[in-house]
Amino acid sequence: MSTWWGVAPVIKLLSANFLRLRKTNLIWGSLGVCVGLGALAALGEFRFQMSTGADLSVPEVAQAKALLEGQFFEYAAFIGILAAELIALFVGTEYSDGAIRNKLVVGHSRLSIYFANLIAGFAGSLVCMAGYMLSCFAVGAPLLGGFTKPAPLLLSAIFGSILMLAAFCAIFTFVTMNCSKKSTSAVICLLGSFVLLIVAVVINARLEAPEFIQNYEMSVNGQVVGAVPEPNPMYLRGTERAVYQFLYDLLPAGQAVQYTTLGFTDPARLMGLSGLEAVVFSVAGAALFKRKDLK
Amino acid sequence: MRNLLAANFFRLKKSVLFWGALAVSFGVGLMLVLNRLGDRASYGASISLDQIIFGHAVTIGLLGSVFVSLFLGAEYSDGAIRNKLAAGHSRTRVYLAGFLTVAGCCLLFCLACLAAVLGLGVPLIGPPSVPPGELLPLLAGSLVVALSFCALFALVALNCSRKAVSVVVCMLGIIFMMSLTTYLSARLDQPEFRDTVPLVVDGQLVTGTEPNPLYLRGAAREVYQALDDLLPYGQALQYMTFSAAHPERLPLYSLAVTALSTSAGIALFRRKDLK
Repeated sequence: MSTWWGVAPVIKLLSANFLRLRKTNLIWGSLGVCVGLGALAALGEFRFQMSTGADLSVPEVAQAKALLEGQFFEYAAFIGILAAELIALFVGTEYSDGAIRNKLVVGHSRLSIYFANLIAGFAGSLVCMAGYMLSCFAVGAPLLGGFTKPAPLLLSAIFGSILMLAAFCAIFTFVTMNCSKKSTSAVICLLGSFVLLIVAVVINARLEAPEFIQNYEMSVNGQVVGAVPEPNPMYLRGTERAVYQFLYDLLPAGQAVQYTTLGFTDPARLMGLSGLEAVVFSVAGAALFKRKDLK
Repeated sequence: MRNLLAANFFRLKKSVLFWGALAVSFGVGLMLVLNRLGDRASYGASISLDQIIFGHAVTIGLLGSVFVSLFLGAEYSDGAIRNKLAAGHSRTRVYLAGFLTVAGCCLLFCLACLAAVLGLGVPLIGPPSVPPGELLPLLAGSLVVALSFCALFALVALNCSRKAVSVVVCMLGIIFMMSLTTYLSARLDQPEFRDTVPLVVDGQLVTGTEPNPLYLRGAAREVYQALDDLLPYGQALQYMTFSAAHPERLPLYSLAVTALSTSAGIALFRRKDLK
């Protein structure tokens, strides 16, 4: 019974949040952008393949290139930035419109308000992500052929990226619910997600550096001959490699790069780290929000 | 106009945002140098000051989007715009004063970044290899890029009453512009011919060439090049990589973008319902 009394106010708050979400242009605009990007990604790949002369009418040709996967998972690269914008504006409005104070005045607990906003922000971002996936699949499957990679890999990328999105949302809700100024939280969330994405791309470039470099030399008769491979000074070794790999797996933006390229090797580790981040940031954010002076 | 500018600069002197952005800009310059030195120490990378001397042109887009939208957005949220109009200043002057203030700040940010790169870079890395006669016009051109960024951000920030919305629009706009120009330059930099996969023939590796399907030709190439030249971030990348085909044209494009966005911004601002 006591559990129900704890959940009921959250459900009321959630229904209010979802109603507000449905009526805001923000969610429809973001969803429109995602649907458009999904369709454009598939169409762009199709046009590019046509320009190279690839015969995609032969199923084997289309499937050998795994073209649909290449576009389908691109949402992972930008969904963090989209969630940052959505949560900073949607949740930030609670402060600027005085909605948080109103909710507290009518008797809702701070925890209920925090988690209702977290769930609403996550749901909104998830809808946008689904919009991209559906439009990319709907346009891409007939043009580029179906999925060719193994189902377990695709499913773990989808579930893993949902958990990655949960981690992103937990971080952005942490910032937004503990910063009274909507514009400041928008800057922190957007700048943070973009800078982290750049950091992830840099880490990826370092981890992808080959261990040896194959040199080619021009011989006397003008032909190119292979020389002995040399160790690549950019290749990361030992502890340094382990630290880079850990950061790459830990950062949601690092996971985003891995899901976009389907280049992950240990999906369980990525999911575990995302889940852990989501829990840690939600608990820490809620604890800070409980003590926050709302004036 | 002079009064408006004086008021804006007075506000700047007391603005944490301005001093913070100036410090960030200087810090970015130092980091660029330290990063190159780190690359040399870690894996013997060949480094030169030319690689980072235009770092300010690439950084000012993101930094400017945050600074301009927050600084000019505060004019709305604090009611300063209404006060200025009530005091008898025309909308055009209020707009121009706002634009000139942020443009001055962005130029200062660029100079701070450049000062850090030169101040730390010249003693530790060495002077730039490009002769001053060639470098100075390029540096002047890169500062004009900062003006065009500012003009675009001022257009958004002074025509959007909600500060948070203008922050998001400016930041997402610059992120989108970065992605677009990175794609454009990647396509434009494609070689016309590419190497085929090396084959072993009689025990020796033999390579050949074939036409690159990614190479842009004809009208498509011209459209891509025009967009790359026109977009401020495209220009910034061209300065950074010394890859501009017509460097003398870039400042003209920047000035055109600045003039067009400022005119459009003033026209919109004059009609705007300030409630």
